[in-house]
Amino acid sequence: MEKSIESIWKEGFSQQDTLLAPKLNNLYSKKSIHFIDRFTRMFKINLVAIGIFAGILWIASLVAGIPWVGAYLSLLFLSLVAFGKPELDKLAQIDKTQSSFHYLVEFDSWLKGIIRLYTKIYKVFYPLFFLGLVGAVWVSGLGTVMLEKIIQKFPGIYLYQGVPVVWGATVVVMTVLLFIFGGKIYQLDMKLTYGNALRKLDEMLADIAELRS
Amino acid sequence: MSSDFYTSSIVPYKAIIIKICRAYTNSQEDFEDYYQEVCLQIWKSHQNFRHQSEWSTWVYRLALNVCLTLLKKQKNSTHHFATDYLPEQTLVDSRAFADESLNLLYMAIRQLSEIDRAIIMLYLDEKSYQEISEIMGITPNNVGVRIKRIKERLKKLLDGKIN
Repeated sequence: MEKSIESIWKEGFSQQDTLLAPKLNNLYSKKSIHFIDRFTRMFKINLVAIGIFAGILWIASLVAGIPWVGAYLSLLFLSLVAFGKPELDKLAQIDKTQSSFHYLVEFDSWLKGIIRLYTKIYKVFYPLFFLGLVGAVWVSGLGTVMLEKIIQKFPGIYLYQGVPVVWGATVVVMTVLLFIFGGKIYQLDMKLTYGNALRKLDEMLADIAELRS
Repeated sequence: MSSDFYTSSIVPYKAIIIKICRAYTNSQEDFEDYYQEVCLQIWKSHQNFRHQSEWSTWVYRLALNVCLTLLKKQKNSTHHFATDYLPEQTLVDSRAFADESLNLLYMAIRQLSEIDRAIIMLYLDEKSYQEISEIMGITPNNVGVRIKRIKERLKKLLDGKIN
């Protein structure tokens, strides 16, 4: 006669060795490795995307007939990759065989280091990028067209070396503002892109610290 | 996690966790990961336990939620290629338990939908329809209908395999 599923269940679980629980050790081991692997992947994709964008930008500038401004902007983006690549290599060197806690602590310190580094870089990057865009508008001839229209509309506008003073002042103010807030803009961008991952890292570190206490 | 908490709040209920984790995993490695994650989540969430149900019922619910979440994550992160697919039997850890009939029953349970797996395990653990309905969030009537259907399906899957 066939056994019922109820009796298979009952008899099967009546044996003591059936309910051997695995040992709880290094609870966060796999989690932390997965987390860091995912973050590394995101960072790598980001760098590759910036590199590709720099290439596309230069090609577009060639088509638009402004190769020098395009080269300048592309180099600006490539500098982000150049700064990021050694940092990525450093990340790969973190020893995965350490305890999860030490592994995450090292990663956290790497992450804080890179945020500090890029906060400084972006303070310079954003103003230079803005100046590049202004240059692109001017060199492409678009600026001249706009200037002619403005002069027609406001014949009394004050010019210095053929450029409206208001324009020059706006560019200077924007450049200064971008220099002042460039770091903050980068940090906001970091929060938007990696916000969840960063929160998770903080939670994991807090949990492990509590588990160790 | 203090050893006191583990000894008093998890060890007496490890059977629940083991049974559930086994039903949602196909290998010893995955089973251990799921088991650890469930224990971790019990420890992290135990302050949210409001004493509105038995601790065991709460553990059941939490273990199920954790397993279903992990399963979903695993499915999302796995990119399947044609050659990645192996027959179900090859993937399933068929030596999880010493009792051969129990292994066969688990293999059959793993072929059920994720929700049906949970319902039948609760039923086999002698939870009342009311308790099952509370844990699963369905009506007791629905529980009865589903259990009948699941048992028929299991019977078909096990037909002739267990004497």
